[in-house]
Amino acid sequence: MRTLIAFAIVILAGFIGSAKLFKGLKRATPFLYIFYSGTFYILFGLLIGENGLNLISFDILKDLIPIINFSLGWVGFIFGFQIEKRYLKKIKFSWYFTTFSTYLFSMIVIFTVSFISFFYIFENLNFNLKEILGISLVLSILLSETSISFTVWSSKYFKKHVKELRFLTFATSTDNFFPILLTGFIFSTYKYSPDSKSIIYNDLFLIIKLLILQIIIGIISGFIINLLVKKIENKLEVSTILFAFVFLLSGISMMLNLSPLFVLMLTGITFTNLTKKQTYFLKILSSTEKPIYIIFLTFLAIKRSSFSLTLLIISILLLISKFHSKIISLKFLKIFFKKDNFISPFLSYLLIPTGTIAPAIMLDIILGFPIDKSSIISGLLIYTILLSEIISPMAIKLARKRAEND
Amino acid sequence: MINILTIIILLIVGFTLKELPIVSEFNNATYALGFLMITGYLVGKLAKKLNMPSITGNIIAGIIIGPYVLKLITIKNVNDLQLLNGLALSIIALTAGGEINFKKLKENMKSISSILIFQTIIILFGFIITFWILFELKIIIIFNQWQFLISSAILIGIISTASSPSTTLAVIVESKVKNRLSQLILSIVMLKDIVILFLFVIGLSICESIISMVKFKPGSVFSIFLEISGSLSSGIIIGLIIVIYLRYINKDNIVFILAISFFSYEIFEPLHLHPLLIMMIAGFIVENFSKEGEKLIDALESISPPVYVIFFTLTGASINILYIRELWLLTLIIVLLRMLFKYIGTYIGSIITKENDYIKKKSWMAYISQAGLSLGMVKIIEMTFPNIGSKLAVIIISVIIINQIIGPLMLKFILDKSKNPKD
Repeated sequence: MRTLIAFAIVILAGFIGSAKLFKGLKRATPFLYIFYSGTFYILFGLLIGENGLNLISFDILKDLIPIINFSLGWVGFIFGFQIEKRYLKKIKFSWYFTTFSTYLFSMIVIFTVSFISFFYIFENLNFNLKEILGISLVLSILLSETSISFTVWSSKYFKKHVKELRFLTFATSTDNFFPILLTGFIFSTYKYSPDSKSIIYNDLFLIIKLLILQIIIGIISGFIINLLVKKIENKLEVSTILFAFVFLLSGISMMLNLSPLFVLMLTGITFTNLTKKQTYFLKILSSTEKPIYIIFLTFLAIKRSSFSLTLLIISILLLISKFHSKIISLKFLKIFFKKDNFISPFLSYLLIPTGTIAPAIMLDIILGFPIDKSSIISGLLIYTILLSEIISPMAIKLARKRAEND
Repeated sequence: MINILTIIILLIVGFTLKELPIVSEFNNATYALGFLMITGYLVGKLAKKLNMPSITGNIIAGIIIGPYVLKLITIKNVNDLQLLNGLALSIIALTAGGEINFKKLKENMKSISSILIFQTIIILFGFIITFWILFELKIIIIFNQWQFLISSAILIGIISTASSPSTTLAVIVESKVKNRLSQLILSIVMLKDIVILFLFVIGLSICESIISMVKFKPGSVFSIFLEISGSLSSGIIIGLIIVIYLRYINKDNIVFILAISFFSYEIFEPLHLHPLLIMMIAGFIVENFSKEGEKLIDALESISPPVYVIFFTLTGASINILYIRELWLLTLIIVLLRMLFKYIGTYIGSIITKENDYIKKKSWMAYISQAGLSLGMVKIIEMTFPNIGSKLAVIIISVIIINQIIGPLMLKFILDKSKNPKD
């Protein structure tokens, strides 16, 4: 009970605080991004959570798991809904290729650095090979992703670089697709066994079966939603159906140990490409994004995560490797797509912060695989998000200098 | 067609998941909520096509898929979702408060109090007298001592006076009737809740004295007075917070309303204050004592359809329909008697304030539905009187089930008719 009150206070305080704060942020400076970003909520969550004053414990918040579960599905749906074929057709191949290869290259580098760190440098953490592979895979998926809100925030400082910014907006808003897709893969590959409280590795046949199952559930639901809302004019009724389906599918995913993010992303993609009411739906969907992000970050910070100097060092290493992997891939791709002239190395500074999908995926994993070791990944993620957001004002300044030199 | 097809698909999915061995945890609240929402919504739509209020469809859907019929939703699911129930109830109460216009309330105060007083007196004494007669004629034999009989009559009488504010509001909003009748009905139902809280505490003490031969405790009346005055003050404070937010921040109002409703329910309910009353007062303050009423109603209207579907389908799912089988004849008698007393009470109350014929003869139909408050009182009776509590609970719950199914239908009927005064 006490925790529920506390949670309500957190959300209310955080919400009012952010709402009031954003009103006063019309004359923004790079430094103010710290307030605009999720840093405030992470710190707040850390303060009241299991690592801080322990006012709220994650276990007692189990009553609210349906809300998190729903929010995960909702985020997946929102993202999927923005993947519209008719717009995607207009995008050049070079933009897709650059986004994909930048993400992939970062993923490989972060995976390697993480693997080496855990396997060779920090042996004292006592992980076996399979665990190190799993942790490195999750970290590489999460940290390779970038932040669209940071791109929007920093865009006002790069008004001369219209082409580059346009690409950056595209890249940061679309590279969320890969981590969600890979989360679907993770949920097909691994299974949590509640009896032994351990993670089981599925065989290849089951992996394929589960992947197909997720795809089928996602796509069929998209079709059904479209058929149900097709003739409905009342906007509120439409919202009821959308909410209900997201609840249902998130719940089914959780029961079958599938990823709600992935399943609902597919539902969103199917639905958006069938419906003609995108503008209306986007209005409903986008207004919920910010509060859901607040809930995710606060929850993530409340959960007892492992914190140590070792993990701090690893997170710094991972952040450095993320930056360098982005800069290297962009430099290389600039040569490749010289004619298009949309790539500049200064963009790599703006690709440092991690976007909203990373905390969502982390929660998805914590809920799907509730083992103790997931606290290490969440600790690392919190460190890395905090660090990246704290250095983000500096990143804008450095990017400006670099842009002027270029 | 697509609605029926979707219901069939959902039932197949529900049964499959229930039987599937790989499903580790069938008691998944997120799934249950989605299932309840979609089936509730679709059956509600079908009900609307049959000219019934959609909440009747929601309730029926809840009963059918709930833990006592098809068992696609478990009792644990229903318990897990109580958190949302509280949130929904707060939002409904806030909307109800926002719908009450102070000027009109003042204008109608005479009629409101007259109907309220006569309904309460007639129902209460009507049940005591009828039960006594039936006892003497040996028709009621389940209560073998006069003390039990009188106590049961008093408690059934008090609970029978209650109507469901949430159901009333939902039907009024759906029927889009905004006239004097709807204002009158809503005001009476809301105020009745406060009166019944007092009556219930007094009645409970009297019955305890009758059954256990202990002295009547006036202290409990004082404590209920404190609870109600505490709720009123808390309602004013919450109302002011909402006004300040809507005036000075006015951003993402829906999220704010959701957060404050959740917060209010969770903080005030354990303090023995009445969240329903608190939120109703808060809505009333915002609507009548500030300029922010429109913003509040806008925000509430944007969230109300899913909230109603969740709340009423969940209400249906928590109803154990099997209760009716046990004492069906007595249940039926009480349902009919309650209707008769409601009619007489409303009629006399309306004659005194010279109300029009429609209100005199038809408006009693608006007060049939029963839900949350009545069920809460049943639980208290069950705990307070171990000797007759369980029997009484079966009877009262059966009555509530029937009233909650036919109540919305009757309310919709008179509201629809009131649109055309010639009828």
